[in-house]
Amino acid sequence: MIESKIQQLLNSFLNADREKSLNIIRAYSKANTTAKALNELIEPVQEKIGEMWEKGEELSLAQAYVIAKVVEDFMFEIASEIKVENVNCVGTAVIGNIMDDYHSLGRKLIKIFLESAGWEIIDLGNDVEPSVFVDKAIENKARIIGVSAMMYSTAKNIKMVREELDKRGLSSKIMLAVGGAVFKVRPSLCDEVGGDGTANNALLVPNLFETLLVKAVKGETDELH
Amino acid sequence: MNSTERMNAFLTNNTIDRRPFSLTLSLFGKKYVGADSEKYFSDKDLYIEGQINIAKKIDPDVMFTPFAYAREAESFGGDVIYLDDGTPNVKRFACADCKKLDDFELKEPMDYKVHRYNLDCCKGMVDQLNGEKPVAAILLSPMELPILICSLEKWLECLLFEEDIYQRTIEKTTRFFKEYIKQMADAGASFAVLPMVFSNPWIVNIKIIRSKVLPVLEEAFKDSPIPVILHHGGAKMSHFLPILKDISNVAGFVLDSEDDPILAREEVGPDKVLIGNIDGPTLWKYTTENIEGKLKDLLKKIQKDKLFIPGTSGPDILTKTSEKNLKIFKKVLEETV
Repeated sequence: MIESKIQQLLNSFLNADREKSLNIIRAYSKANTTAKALNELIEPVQEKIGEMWEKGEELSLAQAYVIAKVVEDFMFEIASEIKVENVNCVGTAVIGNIMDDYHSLGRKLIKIFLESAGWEIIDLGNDVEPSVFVDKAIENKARIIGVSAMMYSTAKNIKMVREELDKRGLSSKIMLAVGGAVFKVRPSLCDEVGGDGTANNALLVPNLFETLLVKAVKGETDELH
Repeated sequence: MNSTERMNAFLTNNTIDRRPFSLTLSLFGKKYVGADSEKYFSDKDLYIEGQINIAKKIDPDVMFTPFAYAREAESFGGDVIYLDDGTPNVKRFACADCKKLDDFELKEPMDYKVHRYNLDCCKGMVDQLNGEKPVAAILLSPMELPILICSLEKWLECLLFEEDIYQRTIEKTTRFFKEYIKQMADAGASFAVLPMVFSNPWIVNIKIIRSKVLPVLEEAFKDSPIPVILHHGGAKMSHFLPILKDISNVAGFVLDSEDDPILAREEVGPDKVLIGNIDGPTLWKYTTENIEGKLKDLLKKIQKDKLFIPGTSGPDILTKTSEKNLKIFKKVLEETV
């Protein structure tokens, strides 16, 4: 039963059908509970999409956008319940588009997926100075900084965030996740700008952040010893 | 043989002195005129002077009109930032919401300063090059033009969720495109190069491309007075060439540097021109010997391909690239007849 619902939702996501997807989730939530809709339906579908990616099956930006919109619509509808359920947040992260970059779509998508996965997100918006990323991470006790850029010309500025982290001796405690269209077409760019990791699409970002969080905690523990 | 003769002979499978090559050097011309990006991309005389210098010093077989779409966004009412060594970038779009596209009045191309500038650059280059090199007009298709009015995100939202506004906007941008490409052709452009965003399955799923995007491109290109070359737009395109190759007046494709040229040829068939494949924006990082090696590797792969024009892929070559790294293209091609 649940397998067929998961498949139905997956197909509907892949057809980029926002209304149908939302109705499937609403119906499941009504028949069961909101938590079950999130855990038994949305999460497995997101996992399946992640697996499709790993196998090289491509997901278009439009499909990711529809999924994000559906998740956002549903989260908005159940906002009051979610607050109670998500009291134990996974962690805090600061995200933004690097200095001179104004292409916000990717950042908005990852924010939705991260929040639905239980992260507290401090969104700094577009055109963020490298030092501001680090200042805000310290201020909010964030262990991950997520920096987005769409073009090669602006992605190069991310290196300054790495330099800022190095300068303040924070590179083992705060991880730098990088992403945006240009990283998809130039995978070596992540290393070039000093990123600790990147993800191929917005749905895979929660996994990346969890992996980086483990690294950040380990980095701090190692330093203490 | 001059570039026009070489290109014509190459495309008709006649004898050539060497294979033609194409480098995306729109931005690079500013290096020769000592202007900042804003001035270079708004003063036609500076742009033409920069391009004529490129023609003389680097001698590629295709010249390009300005590759600076963000300036179109500015003329539509948005704000732009100018980068030292990169094309301008849009900071704010004219329409913050796709619903506002209905209120947006898209005038005639020549009512916009930047489109007049682009056209003047085309005319000036054609005049000064004296027919010795083909000039390619860089344009946006009716599917991509709205990105400059309301952003990729809002246009995607419109395409997916606002059918009526989408249709009305496409009507406006198709009319605009048809007029603009006609004027570019009248100004002497030999062909048009259009970056593809919304016909890329990484952006939109194939079902939507077939149902919504292809009909728009067919309508826009069917009466085009000049051939159209579709540019990969920043993503691999080999595997989706079959869905684009039959659009009217599409003569070829600029591949991504990650594409396999052999696979691309298999996918597209023997009749379309394939261009590029060495990453342009990173040329500055390599030694001249590295680039020579990359080009020779590419030439080996396309040895039997009679319609492959080697050169650069991706956006513009950066001005910090050394001239030596660009001149090597001609040298290698002359040695590899």
